[in-house]
Amino acid sequence: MSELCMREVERLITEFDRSPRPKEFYDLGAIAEVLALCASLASAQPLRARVSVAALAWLRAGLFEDALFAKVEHLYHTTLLCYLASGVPAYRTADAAHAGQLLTSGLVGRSELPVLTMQIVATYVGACGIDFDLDALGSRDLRLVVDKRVLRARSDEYDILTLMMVAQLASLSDRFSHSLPQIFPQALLVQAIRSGHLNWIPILTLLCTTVYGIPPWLRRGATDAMRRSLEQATELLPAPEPGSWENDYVTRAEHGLRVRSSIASFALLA
Amino acid sequence: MSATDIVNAPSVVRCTPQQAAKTYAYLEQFVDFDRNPRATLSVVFARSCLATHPDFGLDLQATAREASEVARRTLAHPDHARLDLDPLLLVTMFGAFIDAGCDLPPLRDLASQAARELAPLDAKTRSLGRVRLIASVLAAQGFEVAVASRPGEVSASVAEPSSLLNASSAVLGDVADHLLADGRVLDPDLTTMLALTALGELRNYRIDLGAKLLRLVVSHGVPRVEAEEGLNFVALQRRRNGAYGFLNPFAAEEERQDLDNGFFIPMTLNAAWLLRVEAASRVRARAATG
Repeated sequence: MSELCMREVERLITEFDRSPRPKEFYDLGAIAEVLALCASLASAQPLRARVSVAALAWLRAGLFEDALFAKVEHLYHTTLLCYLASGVPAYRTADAAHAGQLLTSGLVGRSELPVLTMQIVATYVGACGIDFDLDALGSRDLRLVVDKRVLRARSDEYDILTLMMVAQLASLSDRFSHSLPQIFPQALLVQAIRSGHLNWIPILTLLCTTVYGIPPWLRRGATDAMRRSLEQATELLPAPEPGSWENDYVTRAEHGLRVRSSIASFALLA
Repeated sequence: MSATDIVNAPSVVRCTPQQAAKTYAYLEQFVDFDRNPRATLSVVFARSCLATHPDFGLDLQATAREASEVARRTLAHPDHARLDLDPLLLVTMFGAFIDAGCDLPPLRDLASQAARELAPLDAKTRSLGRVRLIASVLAAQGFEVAVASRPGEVSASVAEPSSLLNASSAVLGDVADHLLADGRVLDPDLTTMLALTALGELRNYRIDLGAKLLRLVVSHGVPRVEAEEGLNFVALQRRRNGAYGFLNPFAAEEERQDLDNGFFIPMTLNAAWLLRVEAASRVRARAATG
């Protein structure tokens, strides 16, 4: 079995070296999961050493920075492989410095949704009279956390969800309303108007108007864009067009997203 | 956002002299006029931005030689229009060397030629943003070039930033050229609108327009945290080999052809240009406040 596993690992490494693809990346990441836990098992050391050496080469080639930049989902497996690479004697801290800078600068590898989910749950539960103290989680500076999303390339439905959750927190409790993001919601709204994203324009306008703030020139531009889209509309506003990785999210609530956006549009224009 | 907010915002190290040296070295491998004149101009331009940056301490003479060679080869070409070299890069590079105290005769000859070629253009062409910008750069360097006045429709659109939100990339780029040519300080609303638009363009990797808007805002806008984040965005695109830009490593093979010329060099050019514009703006602000 160990030979079979070694052959399979060797094949995956060769495939990945020849042409990096997600399939092999996730396969290798899954293998790294167990290898990371096998430090004290002598039988696994050859495999662990082989994957670790390959991981160090990928790290030094800059592949992990590209992977981190491409998708936040790559972070877990990338981190595992980096960790294995760090066990190779030739590894130096400088090998991971660049990837580390991307992480510490907040450019990659951040997901605000878990903490926002907990905050919003705690706040709603608190409104029901139940004390659910999140201590430090509740004191995070939402403005900084969310506004820094503007440093990431691309945008998707999870950006909207983030802004929606922060807006709900702010409207539920004064604790969250004194320091709110501003750059990110406004930048997304400008992007939405310029790219003709009919589903997002009303939602972002609503969020900026009611919670995050909106300068008069941007409100005028957003209102014009909404008027134009409503003049053409004979049914609900269209659903967002998801990218590949958010497909499930959008499909799950497609009709709801259309209704949501249409409500925001007519509510703002009324 | 106030200037205080900008000062208090967490800082990103935009580019150390060591990082600039790495980018400078990365670009050098593509200096080959025979193989690709247009790309060579881009690379030499980017290297000149770094070499004339006041904080980096790079070897100005090496790039001066490269720039002179580009100018000499262009002047010697029987039909230099066919080389398809960007005149804005040529005249801007000439200005950068002059500002650094380095007057390069072949580059001056090329700039003079560009100035002469502007004269016979018809009024409509001379009032295009890009032509006005080239003329204004030449005029600032002492060439006798008349800069056409800004068209009325451009003035009307910049007076109402919301009207620019739906402008096409081409129109917005033209407006930016006009504003760069004018050199006046932008009002706060227009600054914010352009900075937010720049962020959106950069986030979608439409780098040329995003970087142009950012250069405009950094050089002529009022201080805005949105512009600072735009600069941070570009700074964080720096790769370990000195090039700028990140890409999906799992993209199809056909999307990964000639990445240096098709992706990294344009991105690196814009990053280097921005770094220099930001430094020049900082120097001007310091001089203005004594």
